[in-house]
Amino acid sequence: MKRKRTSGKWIIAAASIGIATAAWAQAPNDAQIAAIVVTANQVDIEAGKLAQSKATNPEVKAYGAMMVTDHTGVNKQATDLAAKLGVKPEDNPTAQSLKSGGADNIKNLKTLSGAAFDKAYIDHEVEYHQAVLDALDKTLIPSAQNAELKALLVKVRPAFMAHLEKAKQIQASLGK
Amino acid sequence: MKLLQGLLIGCLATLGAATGARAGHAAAPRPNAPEAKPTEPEGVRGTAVDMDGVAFAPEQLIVKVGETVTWTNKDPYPHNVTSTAGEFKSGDIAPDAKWQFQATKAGRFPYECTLHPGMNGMLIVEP
Repeated sequence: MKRKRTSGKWIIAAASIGIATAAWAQAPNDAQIAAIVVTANQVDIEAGKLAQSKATNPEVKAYGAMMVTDHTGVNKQATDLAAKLGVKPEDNPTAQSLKSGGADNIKNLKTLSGAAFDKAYIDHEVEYHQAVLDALDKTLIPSAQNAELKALLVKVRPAFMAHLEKAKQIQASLGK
Repeated sequence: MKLLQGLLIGCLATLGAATGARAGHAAAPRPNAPEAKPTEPEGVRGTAVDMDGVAFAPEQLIVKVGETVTWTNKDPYPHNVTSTAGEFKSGDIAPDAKWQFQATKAGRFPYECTLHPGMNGMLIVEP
């Protein structure tokens, strides 16, 4: 029952990302894209930190640590580039949606422990990375105007793909 | 009317001839095509591999026994170089860091970054 409610939340969280992305009357500008990228990374860093401390499965723990490392690296590159280009990240509905979805996820994860925590964290990572990949492909990469920003998004995309694959592998092993 | 028909046929004939000529021109190199078809390159000769965009570049590197290969991480997150048969293992290579390995045995050595699924490479060591 609990599981059902939780997965419902994920669907809502993923859908809210989709709705916010689809809600752009005009394509987001580079400052808004920068805010989305930074928030998307930050949200996963926070969840990863929680997994590092709370996960019981070693693979889940290691995955959480990798999310912290990888997304911190991406964020450093994104903020360095924004500073170089003189772009100040601008808050927007997609960034807000990511932020609230991330906060809901943390709130839910904090109520769980043991195998239930591991499963909920990894299931959410699968949903989250899929949603971010969709946003990259459908909105962020096509909308980016600055060539360096676009190149950064293209360069980090395979990392999101690899994270999704890894999360799916762990998800399958947890299900056994 | 006949004049119009004649003109139309004439135009079509000219068009046909032109198309035929273009087709003929395009088809001209056809006899050489099988020879021109390049054989699939097995790999790139050199001693350097970049880790960039969650990929090894070149994906397949050819070296001689005794040569030292340098992997450089150009991504903003760590990678590793791990031989799937256990021949070599770098451990985590931080962003902008390098790792070197001297090839001492001939053979084909598939390897991967165990952190990022799908990030695969091949080291081909010639005697």
